Amino acid sequence: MVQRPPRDGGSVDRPADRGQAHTLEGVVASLILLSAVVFALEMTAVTPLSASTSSQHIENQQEATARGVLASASETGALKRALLSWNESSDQFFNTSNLGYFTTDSPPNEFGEMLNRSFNQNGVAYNVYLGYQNSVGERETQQYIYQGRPSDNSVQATWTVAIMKNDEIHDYEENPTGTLVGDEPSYFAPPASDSSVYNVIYVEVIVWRI
Amino acid sequence: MASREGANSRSHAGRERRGQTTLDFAIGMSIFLLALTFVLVFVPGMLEPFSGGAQAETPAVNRVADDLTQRTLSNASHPYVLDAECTEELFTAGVPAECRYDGTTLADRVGIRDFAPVNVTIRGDLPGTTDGESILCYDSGTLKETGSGCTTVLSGGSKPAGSGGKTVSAKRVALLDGHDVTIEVVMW
Repeated sequence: MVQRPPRDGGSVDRPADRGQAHTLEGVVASLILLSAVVFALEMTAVTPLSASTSSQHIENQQEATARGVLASASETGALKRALLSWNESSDQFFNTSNLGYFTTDSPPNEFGEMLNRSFNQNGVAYNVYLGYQNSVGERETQQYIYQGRPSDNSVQATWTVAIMKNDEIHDYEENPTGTLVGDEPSYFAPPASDSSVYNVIYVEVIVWRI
Repeated sequence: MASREGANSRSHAGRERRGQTTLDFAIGMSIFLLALTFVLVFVPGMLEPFSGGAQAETPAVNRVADDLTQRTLSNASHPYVLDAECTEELFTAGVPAECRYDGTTLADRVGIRDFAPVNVTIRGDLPGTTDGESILCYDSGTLKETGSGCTTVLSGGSKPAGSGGKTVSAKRVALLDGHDVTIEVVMW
């Protein structure tokens, strides 16, 4: 017995081999519990840990706010004045940079101030696009304000503005210059018809939280 | 037994190594209990947003805000353009005949039953005043920011009791007297 080879000595030492068995069991049991939680997290589509900064309720508020701003700006005429404030010599809107559209600063006009009051102070970014019909009847888009690529949780509000042939181009202070839109070939939207309606601008505001 | 080796091995198997088993059991158990506690603490937090407190008020608060800005205080052909007189009278006792609401309390006028308190506040940043939004008011027909002699403050309904309660709010931007204002409806 005493002279047995070491392999049998192992059976004598069994309690010693079980020295860490309970620790191992504890670790394994914890792993099972944690993997159950991870599995449950992966199964649900939206959890507090999902990479989203928004909720449906907030998106609804932003969309309604954007629509309210557009409606207000349209009612006071600020929206149309902003669209008609066109610099004929540089072929872009007044007060824009070389890019031809506004970026981080909102336009220095009444429409821009409305957007500013509603969004800028609240950590919200927005883009404004102007859709119009080109000379062959297809829809084209011009950027008016571009603050970046919208996130997946962005919302959109739209408003249509009819530009008439006898509407006047406005200067940088939004005063009419006397030049009619119909007589201004550099304006971003071409005449869409021969009637008194020059073109219909489809103003699209995209809002998202940053 | 006869050899020194045998005596050594027996003494290890007998006392010292069984002593380590108890320690091992303590470590194993505490690891397991720690994991169990973590899971029990973590899971309710994971489910919490789905069982949020004031979810029933969310559709109601949006309905009140949309109704005020698109129907009650304005009309469908000019949504978000508020009628000055009806807006002022919404926060006073009387109801002009041409306004599309009736009832005595604000909750009645926006169509909310008693069990859900509602608060409506109109804020704005008028030109020629300090920067930043403040609550608006009417002073004999003139729209002002509060703090300078008001007859009708454009805020009404109940006030949230204490702090820490959950509220749901909806915000709309509308045009009042040629200024863009923010209408905030809060329910709880």
